[in-house]
Amino acid sequence: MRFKRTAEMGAAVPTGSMGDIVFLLLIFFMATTIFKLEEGLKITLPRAESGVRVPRERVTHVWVNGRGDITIDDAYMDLNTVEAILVQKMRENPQLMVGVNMDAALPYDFVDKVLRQLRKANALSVSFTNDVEGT
Amino acid sequence: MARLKRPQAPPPEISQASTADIAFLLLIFFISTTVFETEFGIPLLLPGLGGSVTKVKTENVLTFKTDATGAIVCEDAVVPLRQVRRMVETELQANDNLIVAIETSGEAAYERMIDVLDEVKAAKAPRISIKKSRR
Repeated sequence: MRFKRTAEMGAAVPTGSMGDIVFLLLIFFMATTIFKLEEGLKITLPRAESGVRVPRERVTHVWVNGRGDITIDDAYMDLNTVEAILVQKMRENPQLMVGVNMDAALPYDFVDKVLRQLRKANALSVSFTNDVEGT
Repeated sequence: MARLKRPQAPPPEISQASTADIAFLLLIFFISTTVFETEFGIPLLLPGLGGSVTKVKTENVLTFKTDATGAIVCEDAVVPLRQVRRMVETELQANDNLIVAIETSGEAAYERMIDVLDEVKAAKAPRISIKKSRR
């Protein structure tokens, strides 16, 4: 009498450590999630196509909203204080790039005044922040 | 007869089977809420103040004037925004030393300046200058 050998089971993948792997991934994402540090002002950025990515580390932002409020690092200031603050920042980092976040409807007269403050502070490397066109 | 001691049943354990499920759920939550912050901006080098003014030949300068209504004028002809890029490209091919000047009226919206700057950058003009109209 020939006995049929019981069918061999395929080797089972041990799933005991699945929980460990998942927790490791979870910790990775929890550690790398960036919570926004600067609030800025509520503005509508102008749209453009030729914007390039800005390296976050070397940029300080100047926010100007439609009413003419100016903030740097979430601190409101007058137009004339902008230069002093930027001079200080340039001293800390001469390679500083200033990201200009201005409302699209702002009259260019004011824009020019803000840019003049930047030039006075010798912060010449500027990036005009925009919303990406086509999104 | 000695009382037979019943083998003590092991205390009931909390089932560990759903640990991985919980971990996956949390992981999916964090994966879907992590935002990698990207900022786009049009880079530009502002001219310094108080430096020497470089003289340029008038024929090497192509000026786009934006007036208070938002209309773009180049050499006394109104140019629709879409044509700016092609104009700059053609002029660049003819003249390597071309400087594109973007002059904006004080009452024009900031957005209009960015529109023109965007088109000029898209045409890959290497030398760009921006200023505010005198009047």
